[in-house]
Amino acid sequence: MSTWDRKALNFINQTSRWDKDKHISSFLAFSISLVKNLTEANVALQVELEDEETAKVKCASPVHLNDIVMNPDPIRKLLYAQGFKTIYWREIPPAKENVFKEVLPAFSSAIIIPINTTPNNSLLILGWSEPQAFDPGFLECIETMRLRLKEILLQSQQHLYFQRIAVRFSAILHTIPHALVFINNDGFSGWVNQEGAALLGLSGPGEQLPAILSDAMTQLRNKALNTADIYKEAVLLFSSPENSISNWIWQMEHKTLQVSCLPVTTQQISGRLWIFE
Amino acid sequence: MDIIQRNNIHVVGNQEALQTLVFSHGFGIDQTSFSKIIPAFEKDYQVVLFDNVGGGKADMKAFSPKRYESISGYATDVADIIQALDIKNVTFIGHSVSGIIGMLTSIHYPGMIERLILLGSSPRYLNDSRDGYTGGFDNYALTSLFEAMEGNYHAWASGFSKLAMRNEDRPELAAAFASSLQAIRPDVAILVARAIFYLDHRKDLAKVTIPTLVIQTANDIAVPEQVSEYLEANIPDCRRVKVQTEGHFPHISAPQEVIAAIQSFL
Repeated sequence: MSTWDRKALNFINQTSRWDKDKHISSFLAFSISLVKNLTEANVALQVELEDEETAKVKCASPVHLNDIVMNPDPIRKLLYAQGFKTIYWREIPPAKENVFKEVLPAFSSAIIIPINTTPNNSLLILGWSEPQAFDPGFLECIETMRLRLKEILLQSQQHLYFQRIAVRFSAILHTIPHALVFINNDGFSGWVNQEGAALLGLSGPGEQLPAILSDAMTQLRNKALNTADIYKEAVLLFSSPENSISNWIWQMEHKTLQVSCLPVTTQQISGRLWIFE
Repeated sequence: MDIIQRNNIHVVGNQEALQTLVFSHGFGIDQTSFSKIIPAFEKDYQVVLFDNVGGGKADMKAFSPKRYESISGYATDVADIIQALDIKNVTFIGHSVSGIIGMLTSIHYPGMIERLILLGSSPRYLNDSRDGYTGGFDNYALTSLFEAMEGNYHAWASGFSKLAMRNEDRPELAAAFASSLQAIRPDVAILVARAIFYLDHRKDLAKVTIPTLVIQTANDIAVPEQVSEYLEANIPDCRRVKVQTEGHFPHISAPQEVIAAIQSFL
């Protein structure tokens, strides 16, 4: 096994053993730093093409290059001209032709590794102060690392995307003044917002086991002054999973709850959403 | 993207001159804020004026929240302007945040700017108790500032303009600044203000390799005197002058003093 084969394998092994308890955003930075160390590059960084006006440096080593904004158009043109293949610069082009002059000043050699992902394309740049030969073994190593980097980038982007979605919808659902309770038909998961947790006397909002939610809702229903009416409506409601109800009155001792119960059915999830107003 | 249109660039003065002065305005105003300064330099210098994207008559279609969520996007804009005009021997005069923007351009694009003038600029507005740095604002002040901006932007602009402009004997100056602030789309103003008030470029000061002049006014709400002392102490080839006027806009309130300071440096 050649030195470059060993380095490629080392990269795959180390990134596969990544500690999942660490924050996902550091996974990519760790991986880029590892590429830098294994290839003995002097600079390594990611450039993300964020929108039509913005290409931004991230996960840079050295870190002072982070957040530099570049113009994406010349970068896109270069990538298209090279068919999105890895670009090997044994010599850095003159400043007027070097679209990465902000991050590659005074370097001798560099490689640009495009990593196609959706929605934003990225590229990894490695630079060396000393001229590099880029022998065939090295090229093969870089292409292996490129495939693994694409997986890492996709995993990081998806994780961060879902984190943002979760934060946004949690904020929205906790702000709604009604008590919301969602019980998943899978029997393993349920969710309540802040108002729902308070109404049901739960320790806190968020994920809850359906069994706990059902118990708490039964206790709430049993405290109602019109349990017989509630029971009658419930028999009708649960006669079919497609049934729904709104303006269902639960008369409590000190207040009246207006209850809705709606089936939620999508390809990914099915359950019932309870709304207490 | 047409850079001339994007930044509403105007080239005036002596276009045969060997040296070029690039003036860059601060937050909430535009290139016209230098109107009392420019005539003093038109004979001997080529003068470049432009509007930062999001302000003045810059092309709003070019405003990208991603590009301008930090001031690095504006630093790249300055490089675009200098490259598009193909100008050499550039002295960059940046008011307020634009001073730091020019400083970043000089670091990211070595050789593009020869001299730097920071007019009421700050590398960090937020105090830092970890190292005793005084930026002028604490967390509570900035949180309150953004609550006020988000709550009622127009009312905030009116109040802030008086505090920043000072010179209470000339209320028309604060009124003009308020009007200029109110002309900015509130969501754009808030995003850019966040990029400014939460920036921290103290570590970049040591990377400045060109001669730098810091101009400080008295009683500046955005930039206390300790900040200009910090700049002078941490930028390698730097000198500092004080101009005898109050407020954050000496080029508007005391143009002759600012002209003299710039001339002493050129």
